[in-house]
Amino acid sequence: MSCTEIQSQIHDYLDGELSHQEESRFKEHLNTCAKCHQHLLELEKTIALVQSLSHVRTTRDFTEKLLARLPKEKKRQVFAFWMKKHPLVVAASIFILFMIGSSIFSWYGEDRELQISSNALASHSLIVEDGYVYVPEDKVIEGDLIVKHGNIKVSGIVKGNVIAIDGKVLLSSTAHIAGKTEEVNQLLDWIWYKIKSFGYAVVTP
Amino acid sequence: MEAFEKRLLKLSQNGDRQAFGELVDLYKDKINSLAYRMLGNLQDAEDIAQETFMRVYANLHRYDDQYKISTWIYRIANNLCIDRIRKRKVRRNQLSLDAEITGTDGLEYYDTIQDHELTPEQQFLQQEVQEKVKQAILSLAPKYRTVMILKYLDDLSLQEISDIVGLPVATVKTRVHRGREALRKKLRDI
Repeated sequence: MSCTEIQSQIHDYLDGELSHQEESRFKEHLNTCAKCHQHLLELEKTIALVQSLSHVRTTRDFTEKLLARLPKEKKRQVFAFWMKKHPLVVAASIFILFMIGSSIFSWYGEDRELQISSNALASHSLIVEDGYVYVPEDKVIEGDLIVKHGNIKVSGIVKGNVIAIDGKVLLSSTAHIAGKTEEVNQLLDWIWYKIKSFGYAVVTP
Repeated sequence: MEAFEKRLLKLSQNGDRQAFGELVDLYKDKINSLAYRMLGNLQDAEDIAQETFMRVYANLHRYDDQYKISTWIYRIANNLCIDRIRKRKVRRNQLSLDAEITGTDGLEYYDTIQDHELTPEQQFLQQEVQEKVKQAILSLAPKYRTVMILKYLDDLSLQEISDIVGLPVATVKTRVHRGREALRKKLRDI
């Protein structure tokens, strides 16, 4: 085995990558060649020297200093991360915000004219007078009675709900309402009412 | 160990700063050592170590778990070190128009750019040998410096080093061989 061959094997030897056979031939050569032997010794010494270097410790307050430097908006980051993991909640929230927004718009946006929504309109059983919608004692309203920007006065029978938006509901002793009675007078009530009625529409198509 | 680190990482991702602090404690000395051996001065080393963990924190959600956490952190640190060395070189070239030393395969390239100020380390080490070894490593081109430090100071496998520097194992192996030879020439007379 020539010295040139040994030179090319010396690093494989240090990496522990020579086969058994190769290794014995390699060592055989070293026994007879002082130059190659010296080369290997120098490399082994070099490795030992590098390994003898110590690790260098950080200063004692390294971690505290680091933590103090971290950006303060970690809440935002955590929130962003959380949003990525829960896309449905995010979609629902955006939808509800949108609903609230459009409700606010419709609360302020419409003109304040009295509006009636009832399937009894056609039967002329309602009397509209002085900002009041009046259900006379002898009348029966089959469905809901909803009035916007006006008051409701009931003496007769309503088989559905009675709802006054931006108005009051007055009941006389003869009144009978099968459903619920509601007054929606605040913006927040209005938003809640919008969301609820959307909910009902979804649940009971 | 791996599982413990992964748990710390997960907690850190959820905003637990104490867990992140523990993760830092596990690696700060290793990263500081790498940076010190790469850059040759304590102040720069600690700067780089701080910057490394700042980046780790900023990229917690981008951690790719096909690599070990240690690999990922070493990788960030090594890139920052190389970057710092490059910037120093630019600064030096702007200061003086000294010709580059060519024809040495880059091994001797950075011979001239160590800091020669007396570091606190020198005062208490007072070991000529350690200083010589340190200077010998600093005289290597950065790409050899990295593999020699990771292999012999951190005792990492060729595969881990390959993951850290983003090069094939065969390339890393060649660099180890060349690095060893270059250091041998500088250290054989000790």
